[in-house]
Amino acid sequence: MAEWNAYYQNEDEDEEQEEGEQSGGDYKVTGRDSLVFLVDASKEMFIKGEDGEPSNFDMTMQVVRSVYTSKIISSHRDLVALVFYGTEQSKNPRNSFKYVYVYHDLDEPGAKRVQEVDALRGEKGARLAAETMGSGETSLGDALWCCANLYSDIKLRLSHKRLMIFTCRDEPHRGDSAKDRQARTKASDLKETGVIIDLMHLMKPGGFDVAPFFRDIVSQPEDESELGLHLEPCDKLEDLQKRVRAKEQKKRAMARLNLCLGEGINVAVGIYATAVTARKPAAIRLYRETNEPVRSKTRTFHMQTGSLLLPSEIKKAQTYGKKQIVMERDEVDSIKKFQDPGLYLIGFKPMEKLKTHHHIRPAVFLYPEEGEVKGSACLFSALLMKCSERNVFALCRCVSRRNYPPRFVALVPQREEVDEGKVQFTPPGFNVIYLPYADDLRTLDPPQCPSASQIQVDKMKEIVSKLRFKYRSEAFENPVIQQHYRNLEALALDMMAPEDTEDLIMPKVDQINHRLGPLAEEFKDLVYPAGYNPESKSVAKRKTAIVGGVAEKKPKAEVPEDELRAHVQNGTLGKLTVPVLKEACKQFGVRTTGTKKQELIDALTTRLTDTV
Amino acid sequence: SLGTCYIPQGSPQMISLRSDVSGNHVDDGEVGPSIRRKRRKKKDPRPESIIVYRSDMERAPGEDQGGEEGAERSAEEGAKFLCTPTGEGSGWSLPPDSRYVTLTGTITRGKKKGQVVDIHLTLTEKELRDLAKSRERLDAECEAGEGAKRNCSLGVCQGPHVVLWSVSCAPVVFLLSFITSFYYGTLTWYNVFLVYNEERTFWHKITICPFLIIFYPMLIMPMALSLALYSAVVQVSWAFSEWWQVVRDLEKGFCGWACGKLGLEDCSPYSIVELLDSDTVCGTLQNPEMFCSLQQADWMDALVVCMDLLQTETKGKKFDRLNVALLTDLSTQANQDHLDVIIENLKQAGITLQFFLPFPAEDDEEGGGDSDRRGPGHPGTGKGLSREQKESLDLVKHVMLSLDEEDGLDQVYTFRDAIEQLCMFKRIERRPMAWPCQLTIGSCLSIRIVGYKAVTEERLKKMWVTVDAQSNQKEDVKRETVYCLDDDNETEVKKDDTIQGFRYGSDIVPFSKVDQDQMKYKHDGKCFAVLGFTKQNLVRRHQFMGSQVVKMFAPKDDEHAGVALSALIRALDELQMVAIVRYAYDRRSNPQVGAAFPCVKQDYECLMYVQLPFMEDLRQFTFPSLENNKKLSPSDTQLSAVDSLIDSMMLVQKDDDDADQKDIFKVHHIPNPAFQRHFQCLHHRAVNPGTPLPPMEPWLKAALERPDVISERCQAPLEEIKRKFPLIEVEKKKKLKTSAQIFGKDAEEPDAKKAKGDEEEDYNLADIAEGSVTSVGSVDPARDFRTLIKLKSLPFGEVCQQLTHRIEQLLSNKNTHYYMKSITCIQAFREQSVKVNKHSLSSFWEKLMMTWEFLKDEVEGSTVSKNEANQVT
Repeated sequence: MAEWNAYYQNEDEDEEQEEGEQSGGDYKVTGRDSLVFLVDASKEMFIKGEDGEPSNFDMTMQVVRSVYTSKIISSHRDLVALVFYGTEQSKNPRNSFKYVYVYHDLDEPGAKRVQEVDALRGEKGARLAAETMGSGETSLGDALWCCANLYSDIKLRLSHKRLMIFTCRDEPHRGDSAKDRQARTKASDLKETGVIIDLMHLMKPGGFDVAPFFRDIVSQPEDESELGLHLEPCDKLEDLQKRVRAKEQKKRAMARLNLCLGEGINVAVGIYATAVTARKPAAIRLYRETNEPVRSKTRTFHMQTGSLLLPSEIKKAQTYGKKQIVMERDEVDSIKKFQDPGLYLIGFKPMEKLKTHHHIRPAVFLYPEEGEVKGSACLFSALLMKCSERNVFALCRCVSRRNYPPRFVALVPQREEVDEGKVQFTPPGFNVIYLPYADDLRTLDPPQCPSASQIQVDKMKEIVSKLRFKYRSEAFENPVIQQHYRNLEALALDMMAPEDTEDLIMPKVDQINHRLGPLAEEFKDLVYPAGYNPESKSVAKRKTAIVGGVAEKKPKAEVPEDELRAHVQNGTLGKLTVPVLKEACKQFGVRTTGTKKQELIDALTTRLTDTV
Repeated sequence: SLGTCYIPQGSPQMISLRSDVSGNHVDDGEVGPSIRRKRRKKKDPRPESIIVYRSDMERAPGEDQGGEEGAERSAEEGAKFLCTPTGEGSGWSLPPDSRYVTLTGTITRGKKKGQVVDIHLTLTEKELRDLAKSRERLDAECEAGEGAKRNCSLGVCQGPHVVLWSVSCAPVVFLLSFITSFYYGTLTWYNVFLVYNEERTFWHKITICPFLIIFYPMLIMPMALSLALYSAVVQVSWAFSEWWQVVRDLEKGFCGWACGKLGLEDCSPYSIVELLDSDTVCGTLQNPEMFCSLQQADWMDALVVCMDLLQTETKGKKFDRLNVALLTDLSTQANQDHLDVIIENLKQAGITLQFFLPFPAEDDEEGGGDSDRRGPGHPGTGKGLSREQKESLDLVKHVMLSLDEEDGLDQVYTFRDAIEQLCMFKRIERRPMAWPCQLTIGSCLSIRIVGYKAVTEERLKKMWVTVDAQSNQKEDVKRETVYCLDDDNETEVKKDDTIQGFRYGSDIVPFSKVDQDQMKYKHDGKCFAVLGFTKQNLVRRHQFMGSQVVKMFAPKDDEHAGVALSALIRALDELQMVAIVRYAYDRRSNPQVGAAFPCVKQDYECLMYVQLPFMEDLRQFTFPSLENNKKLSPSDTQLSAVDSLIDSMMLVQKDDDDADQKDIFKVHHIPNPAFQRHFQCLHHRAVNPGTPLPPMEPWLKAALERPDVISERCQAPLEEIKRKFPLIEVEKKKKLKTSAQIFGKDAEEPDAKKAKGDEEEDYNLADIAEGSVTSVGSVDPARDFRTLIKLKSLPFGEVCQQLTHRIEQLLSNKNTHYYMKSITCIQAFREQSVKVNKHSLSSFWEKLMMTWEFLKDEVEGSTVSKNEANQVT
């Protein structure tokens, strides 16, 4: 019987479908991503920079660590491996390759691994590396072969395989053409099995020349554009980190749709979520005795007969206007259906017509799918160029999935932007901005307030310019999530206390005060009368709140049943306080979703009048 | 919540309407004030007259649920329900003067006592009037004093001559009544006799039945005679209408009453239905046409009754607004006597008034401004109104203006306006909740602010609940979650025996709730603190996170905060900057980082807060360049084609003054089509239970399409685009299939979410219903197998046997096509077996493996190795 549950788990999903639409992050995953760091461990890697700059090896280890920790947070199911080549010692599954040291096998990154990578950082790390691995001869061919074995040993289905080579030597075999050839063959073997090889070349004196050897090793970028190979080597940690991060995530389309301009003109596009709210992961239930995870199963069965219910034996109902309205499950779905999934162009509008406050959910990104409809990229690119040139956006009707009601979206053109290092920081494509319907806008009643005089405004301008900074979206970490993972890390590694996190979204009050100096006082003198304290009133309020809180904890006064009934009959339930009413609800077993007084009163009234 | 009382023209009040309606599933013929028909007699049935017995559970649990889910909702969304256009009886071919009416009532006597019924009937104007009149009469009886006043006047229909006439009619009435009473009495007697003879005990049969036969004449004669006498006396009346009323009811309901008294409700020759008040929303949904053709009603009286109703019903409850909506053509004389008192009372009780008239209230001569506001085309503005209407209109104006001096007349609508506005369901409105806080810059400078959610994606509050298909009761369905160990036996463990843990990469860290609460990130609660200021263009529109926009105002009573906030808003606006802030709603919620944009409008200023992403939220994807790619970059002619397309599809129109651009497609003026459709379907299902869902409303469909102007204009440019840009759909190449792909699911990790969907998609009931499947055939064995399992017409074991037999047959054919077919069979087999029982599969699997080994030698290039195959089990 237990096996039937697979069938019933869908139930919940149905009801939360709309939630799912919002989160935008659920892809149809068919396998796991994998990433192998292949790091050069030759002597050159350990040479320190001139003015105390970290060595290339050190930098690499920092990057590896940051990838480990970010994988743990963002996608813990991905597999990561760390392999050194050009080592003296060798350690690999079958010990068949010399000078290759598999430090971490392909596996999910865990706390232990982070620690182990940590151990390789800095002075100490370099020493440890020398002790355990040493530097020896180089055979990139063997190293690649070894990595290929790592991939083939994995029993799981891998969807995306990537290999990153970190090195600062452009001729690893010093002109040994046999080894070069072997490496090239192995590289092409790997590429054939679907592994993408990237080169993270690091700075070396005299410059890194990709052309002679590595050009044939690395994978050609996906669409034969020029951008794939960075010809400039990295010399800064941030650069390297940025470059690795850009490559490390596999982009997956949330959906592939047609952008329909008119009859028969369909451009295939993929929708990508470029920003998804990261949440604390859900807890896993463990069995108390063994700490092993348990599975949860949800079943639907009939109360009277106790038999499991098939989907055909279930209907959906809602109460409206005091009448129960029953529908088949198919019908409930069909209500939501308007059109088949797709984007349908309505027209164009100038950018000014896109209001800042028309925001209901995070935007997604649109990029052509040449693989589905040939010629898409060309028309897409033409649209993109013209829209951004003329400063207009395209208004579309968007049905993102089957049985989803339509939403209107603005397609805002975004031209490609690259930084000095030729690293793309904004990709070319359309940002899809969801627009609100009439129901989504609330009518407010703005208070009438006098506006400020120009002197006051000017003073504020001074304050504003004192506190200017350059906003970068990646500058703020989420303190809640960071703290959560620090805690887990501490527990996983048996640390005494979790590592301190810096709350980056806390205002640096002292600095601000210092910068402002007397300006704050001057402004206050301009706008506030003497003796006005903006904090005073709210402080008083907070106190009452605390008093209220205490009062709530007091044993609640229960009202006897007949008294309640009397109240109901006279319609004077309103005289009772909310806590008393809540208690009364509990007493009669009335489930209430609302906390508002009227809701409680109504719930009680219906209950008591029913039983009378 | 909102208390609204709707008065359709002329309905004096909404009190219980009592009328007896003959009851059987087919209601035959005439429906008068008291309509009685013998059970067995059928005459000229009207197709639309149906009585629907509501099942009992529809009442009790339904109402429970309503209470549970909060009265706020039912008031809120129920109110929307009211604003629906009623179908106006379209779809039926009715006689010109008749209407389709639904009456709701409770059977008070008879076998189905207590049962709620819906009676759908077609009534002619006249019948309706009669029905209503009977109600009026009953009302008059109820409120003895009020209604009876006007009986003293003389006229064609009332006066001494009517008395004379009725007296002269007395013998005839006596005779008729005697016959009718005799007839019904006999029927009743016969029914009673049958009950005692057949349904009761033997002793009843031998004791009571003989007496019944013997005393039949003694029972029937006095009864018929006295009833006849009573009828003859009672029919003498002053007014003709009253007389006619009484005369038509010859039997006076005595038999039904007597049966009720005797406790033999079954024996009554007719059942008696007491019609409900129409004050439930449901009633209002269906009954709007019921009162349409009443005569003679004073809308002033109606108003008084409504005020009274609102006051008594809302006593002891809180309501935001009490409102009376009056629909009238003002064609009757209104009693102006107590006008001042009424107005005074309205003011005191805080009841607002809305008038809906068939013509505009303001005349043209009142000013040019009004006429173009109202728009042309309204019939009979000031013209063609009767004297009464004109007088009443003045009265309306007087009332409205004395309630609200400035824009009292704004609450007077024409029917046309109302219908235009009401054709869509009302948009969801929520009262914004104030969020008082302080905006702080450093520790020295703080400004008091109040935040209101201004934009957020509205969702329907009511969810679908799962109910049992047979009983429609949600109590019959129970969902239960159990935990089990991940071993072969799936050993269940109690919830108390589990603890919570979190994944840290590959490790699972046990982490109790208590520890978690102690160690989690804590903060000081509510906060709106400025971190710094930055240029507006650095905050990209597409990086907005969250699902809302909060507007920050100064508190209403704090002028100084207003000035300070205004200084900040203006400074930001002039410098084109935004404030980056830390925002925390309260102590329990997670803090956010966000931007506060200045917003300077003509009549107010505010800050608009939008959440911005954290580092963890961002996914830095890189995409291949489009422009630098030679192959993809469009040519100049292609670009100009796109250019002309954009020209033709601009949704803004320049006005003549060139100052303002008119937007012809405002998304934020469109009501959410999902809600519109949802309520349309619910409404339809409520009013027409058991019928398929209606098609989408045409106006809604049109609202989601390209405006006609645009679609006309863009034809040519689109053709051009079609010519210039070749678009070829790529045929999907079939990829090499691995075992996992063949079997569709990842065997290693049972991922419930993935497994979802495909089953449901493929097998809905419609598919199954296509043809009847009795055994696993050879054309599509997999499908037949699934269908049979689903239908459960054969035992599982037998179906499996049939399938394995088919698979063996297929395999013995030794042809790739048949192999593929057998694989789909195995796939189906595995899928269903996993659901039902593992064992039947495993035994078959062994057998299959043997076949497989044997096949492998023959099939070259088989991609499925034995290992892989084993994995699948």
